[in-house]
Amino acid sequence: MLQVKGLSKNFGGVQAVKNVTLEVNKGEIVGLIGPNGAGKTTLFNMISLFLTSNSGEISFLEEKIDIATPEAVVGKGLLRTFQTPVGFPKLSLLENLMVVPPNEGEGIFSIFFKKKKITRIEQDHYDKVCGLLRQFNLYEKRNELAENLSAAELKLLELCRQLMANPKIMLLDEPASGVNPIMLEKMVQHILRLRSEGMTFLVIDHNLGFIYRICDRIYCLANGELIASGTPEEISNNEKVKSVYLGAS
Amino acid sequence: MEILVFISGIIALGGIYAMLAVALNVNGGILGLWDLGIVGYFAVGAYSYTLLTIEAPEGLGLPMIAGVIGSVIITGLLSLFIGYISLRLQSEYLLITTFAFAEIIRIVAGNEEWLTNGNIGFFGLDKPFQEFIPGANYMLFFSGLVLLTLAIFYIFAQRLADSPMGRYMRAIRENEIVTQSIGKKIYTTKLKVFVLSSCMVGLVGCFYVWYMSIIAPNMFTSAITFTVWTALVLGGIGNNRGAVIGAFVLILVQEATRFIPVPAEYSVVLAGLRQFISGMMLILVLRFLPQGLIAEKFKSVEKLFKFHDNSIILEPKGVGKNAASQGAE
Repeated sequence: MLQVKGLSKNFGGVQAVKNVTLEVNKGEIVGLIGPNGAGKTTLFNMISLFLTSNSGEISFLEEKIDIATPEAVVGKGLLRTFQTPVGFPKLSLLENLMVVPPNEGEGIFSIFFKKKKITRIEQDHYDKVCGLLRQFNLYEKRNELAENLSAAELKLLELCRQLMANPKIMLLDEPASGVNPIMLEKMVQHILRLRSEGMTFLVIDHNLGFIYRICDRIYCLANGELIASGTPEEISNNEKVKSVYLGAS
Repeated sequence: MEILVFISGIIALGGIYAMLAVALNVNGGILGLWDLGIVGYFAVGAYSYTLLTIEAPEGLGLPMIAGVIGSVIITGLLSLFIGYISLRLQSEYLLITTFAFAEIIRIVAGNEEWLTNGNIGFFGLDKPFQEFIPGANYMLFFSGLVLLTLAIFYIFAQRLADSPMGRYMRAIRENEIVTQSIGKKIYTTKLKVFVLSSCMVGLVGCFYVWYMSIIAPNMFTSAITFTVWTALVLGGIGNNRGAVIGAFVLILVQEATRFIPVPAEYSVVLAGLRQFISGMMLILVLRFLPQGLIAEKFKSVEKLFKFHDNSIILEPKGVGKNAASQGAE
């Protein structure tokens, strides 16, 4: 579904990502681990086209996407979250999600001439948002501003926001960081439920327990290079992975 | 009677600044663009109106309404050009670029004598319906016209703010990168709103010409930009009502200080203190009411669109009265 071939990126003299090749198949949950500064987020930024790569190619659904814009990639169904979730702080939860789907009402003239149609569209989006918020137990807070949410709730809101855009694959950047164990358990349930409905995930996280539990396959990145890949068992027994994480072998 | 005319003069000036503040609120407050070029579009609107309506050889001698429409179009085209090349810049960089454009426009107006008559400008310009309302009473009528247009501006901006478009604009203000990550074309939107706001400012330029009945480059210094921004910050950024109230309060205070009795020998020194008073007001408001006199109000989308969600019964819940559930009664 998503293929990355020989992707490299350097910032000045620093080679952040070196010749990384990876693949995510439909319905899989693939993990991406590595110590701080390994280049995980840079890789994400390149896949979602927020950064242009120096070399290599990315294809999504058998189609090269290297030259597309971030907006166009979202239209194809490739969505990403951010490491520090903030959403839109001064917008309510409802608004945070209702702003996501393409909307004819987002034009200066349609506001004045197509009021009825827009109200109908808004009602549809509202129903969808309410359904989603109920699934994620955020419905009661739908009228609160996003800035009043806890870190864990914001992470859930990030997931909801992506789901509003009808994703085919979701790139999650540290969904478990700063989330307490009870919420983490809920997060795991949500991710597994979405997968059972056919969603594909590529997940970055430092919480190895979480990653080992949900992932089918894991890639390990260190200093911009892939050093290992395999099933959770293979990775957890891999000497190289142990040495980059623990500093000893 | 004189006092009435004087008051209506203040109302007209306050109304003009209020219109500017509402227009600025659309792109500076709701969309969050740091635009310091507002006086530039103001000058372009005013000059293009004057040059379109004034008699030949200086101008084209078109009727007033054509002048108004023409000035809006010309301002729109110019802001499209400015926006096209500068809107990819972020906050401070956009601020300095738009500021530079406004200065360029003023300096061009001061130097291109064949077009603008240089620093002398034009004077004795016509006002709308002047021939029907003679003498001093004209100001009463004019302040009414300003207030009417202000009401239209306000309703327009309010409708925009409450619409899905307004929500989208606030999302861009809150977090550009996330807005991009959900597949929105933010550059195009910024450009559209930037042009819209500049067209509104261009229209106000015509009112300024009518109010002053003269036009000269030194009427369009950056002081206007800062006054409008001060008014917006005073009233509450992102809030149309705040923009209007801020502008009126600021103009009222500035004009009221004319009546403070001061000894003649200090009058020149003390005149400078008027700027000090608006500065002080700004500092006090920022210290004690950082959101402005009226903070940006949070309205529940459920209330705005009267959504009905009949699936389950809910207790009203949330933050304060604004967020009370409209759910399922």
